[in-house]
Amino acid sequence: MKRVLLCAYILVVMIVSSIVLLNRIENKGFEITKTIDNAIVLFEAGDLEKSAQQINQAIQQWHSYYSMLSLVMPNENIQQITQSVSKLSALLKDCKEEFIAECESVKYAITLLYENEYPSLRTII
Amino acid sequence: MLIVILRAMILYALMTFCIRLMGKRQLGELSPSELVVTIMLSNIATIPIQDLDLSMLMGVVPILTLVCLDVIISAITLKSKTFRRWVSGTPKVIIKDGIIDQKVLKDLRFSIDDLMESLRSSDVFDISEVQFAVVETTGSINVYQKTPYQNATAQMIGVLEEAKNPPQLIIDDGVVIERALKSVKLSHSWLIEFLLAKNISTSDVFILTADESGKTNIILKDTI
Repeated sequence: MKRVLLCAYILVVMIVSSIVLLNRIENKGFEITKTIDNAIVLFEAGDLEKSAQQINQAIQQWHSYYSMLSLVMPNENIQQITQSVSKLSALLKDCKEEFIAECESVKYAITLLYENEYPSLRTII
Repeated sequence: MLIVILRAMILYALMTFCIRLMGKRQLGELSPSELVVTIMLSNIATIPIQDLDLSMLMGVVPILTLVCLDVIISAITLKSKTFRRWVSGTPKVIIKDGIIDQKVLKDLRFSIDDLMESLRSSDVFDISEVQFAVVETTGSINVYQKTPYQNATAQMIGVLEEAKNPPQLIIDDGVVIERALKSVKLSHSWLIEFLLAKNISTSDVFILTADESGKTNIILKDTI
């Protein structure tokens, strides 16, 4: 009976941890998306300095997000976003049109990461 | 490289823990659900060792999930007969009174060669000698032979002795096993007297076995 209880306990701990982790992934992803949105708004308003601050903040947020994501998904899935995020500062300095496109691409990819982790019929099968 | 070594060590410990958690039943004959878990575990455990792109949690979580499910399902099967039948199936009588049930043979997709092989492994070479043969849920066949073909037992030949427990290991490489001494209902003072009579000490003894009647077998250490 002790063995069964231990297994039930392990199972419950794993399920609760998974739900907590999924929730944190959603919240962190939302935070980064919001920061990037702010950076885009500031960029479009011509405030490059504050936009750059927002991008730096997004890069830092991504760094901690990356550590969390690497626990639950293969590294190759998140490498591409890491590359895109690392390009943002350089794109902002050059004031290139691609900055906004790259920001949108990062936001979309982050949304997809969460959607792929959320248990639905599509992700399960 | 170091990561691979550490991962292998951790997964080795985890797998050992999991096999212990699944219990001794796992080490013997496998029921269908246990077979599934064993095959899956052996595959899953190697993936995070080889693929460093995957986090180790991706291996640990499915391993623990499968093992926990297996233990919980085993516990439910103990309580519920219907569930047990559903998970493990039911034993099937394949030979009754020397006659093969061909329908059961077909249902189980057993060939006559499979059946004969199993009978031979039970020292039965003639189907007509079989009173009853059952295909267990593990896939093994157990055979009950007709009385004239059964091996003679002590009861059959009228040699009736009181049931005796087997001898126990009392001294193992110079170390006295107190638990074994108690189990054969012998005291420590009996052991001391026994050793004094032989003019030896416990450290001289390699193996000493004894049963409840005080019958002993002693092997002294070699003097190398």
